[in-house]
Amino acid sequence: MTDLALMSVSELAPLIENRSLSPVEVTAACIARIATLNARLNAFVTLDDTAALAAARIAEAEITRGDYRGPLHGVPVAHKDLYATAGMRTTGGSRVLADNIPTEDATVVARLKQAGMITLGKTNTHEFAYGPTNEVSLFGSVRNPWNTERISGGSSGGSGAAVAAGLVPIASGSDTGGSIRIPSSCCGLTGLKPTYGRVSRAGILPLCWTMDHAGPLARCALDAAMFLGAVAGADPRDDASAADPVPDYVAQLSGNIEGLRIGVPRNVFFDRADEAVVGCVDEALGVLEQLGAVLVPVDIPYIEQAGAAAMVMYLAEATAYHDDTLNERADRYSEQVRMFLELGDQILAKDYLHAQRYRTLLGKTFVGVFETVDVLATPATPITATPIGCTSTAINGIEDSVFGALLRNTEPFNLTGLPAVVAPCGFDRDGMPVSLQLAGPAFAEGRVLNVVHAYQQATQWHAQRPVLA
Amino acid sequence: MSEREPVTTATVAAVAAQNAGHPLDAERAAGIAEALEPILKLIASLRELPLKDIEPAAVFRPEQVDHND
Repeated sequence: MTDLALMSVSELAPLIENRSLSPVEVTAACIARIATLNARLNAFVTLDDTAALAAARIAEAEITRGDYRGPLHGVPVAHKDLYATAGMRTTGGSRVLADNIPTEDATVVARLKQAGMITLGKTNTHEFAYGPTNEVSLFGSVRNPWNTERISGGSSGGSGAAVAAGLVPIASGSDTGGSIRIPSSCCGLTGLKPTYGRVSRAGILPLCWTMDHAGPLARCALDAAMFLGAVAGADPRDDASAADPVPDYVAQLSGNIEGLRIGVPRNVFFDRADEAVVGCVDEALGVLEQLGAVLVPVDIPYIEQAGAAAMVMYLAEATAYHDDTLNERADRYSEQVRMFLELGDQILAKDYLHAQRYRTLLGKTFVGVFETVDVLATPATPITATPIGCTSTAINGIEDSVFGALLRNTEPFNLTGLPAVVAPCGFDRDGMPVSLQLAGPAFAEGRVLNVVHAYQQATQWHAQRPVLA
Repeated sequence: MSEREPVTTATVAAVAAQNAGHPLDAERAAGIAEALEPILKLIASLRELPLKDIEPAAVFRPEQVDHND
């Protein structure tokens, strides 16, 4: 049999349902792989194997007596260490919360438990999710399974490394400027940032209230759809939670994209990306065209200011959230995050509001774009995973900051709250994964996931695994 | 809008201590000032956008009371 720890949720589910595979076997396989590989990756920061095996035995008993809850039942999951887990340490990757043990689960954690998933443990995060590299954490840097000298991307880097390395089939993440999609891109995974409000943020440590989103890092679009279906929906614990009905996302994955209009915005998204990345993404667009999609060149006005607006949002909102702690325990933050928080004190209210007004402008701009196309396709990240410790990079001969480059293509969809999914579409000259991003109108998660599903039916990039002997 | 003057260490220290309530020592204030200037230049681009009749994305929403009648 294929190594259990390397199988996707959608491969495991039917075997668990027909009882040819026990949740205990799958959970034990993940625990064994974590024991072997985690020291090299630093992906998991808390593991409760005793509780996980106990939960797996309960799931096994339920399924044996005919109480099968659905395709997530008995499947292990890991949660970013930003998600509250009752009785399990939740640090946000920071010394500030080193001893924090919540008494209540985040809504996403609770809903996945309700669906029968087995919580394995918690994954590393950039401190308080305030950075896209995952180099800065109470627990140290996360290492990329494709090359352990490279960043995992962040801030959900522990989840990215864990899923890519086969330590767990799927994991949760949060995404404020790209923190699900960036590690997914760097580690060769399918990562989904749903529409703002689609998935509850309750119980997830905030970075920036108006841009925080929750979602999965998965091995394929089908797995992401299963996860989304279990966690989406209104939640009275989250004021931003949307009341819109939750469709059957799996049923929306027909794989048919005949006639679908895919907008291709070359300005900023492509013309400031590494040419190797653009090459892979253009090849992927060719595949989508062969599958019946129609490529439409589009221009996104005002997109050049997205980075500036996002920066104002992070600086102002994160400093507001950390105001008291920064006063009382500033020395417990990493130097990098402390500096970001202190910078936030210097932002004028009018600039915060200009940024919020820009978000309205950009949102209306995207509404106009989606009147002419069904989805947008861009490179997920303009660069692939950089060496750990590297703060600047050259893109086609032009110097850029690693932070700025990693965030550039993902941030616009946090500012607008629109759904976006990334999926692997090749490798660069150094063997690091390259990814495509698909974005759609509000609440069109099924549509963007279906494009990725169609692509993954036609290609095998998502099935590639790093060699970690 | 009139031209902004480059930010100084003294300004950063004063804003931190007198406005924000997070006082900084001289070395930290100098570091923040150095990091802040390029950010302020970047942010200035937002002030040049056609935002005249556009409201912020964060809109006030009154809390509602549940009525049983």
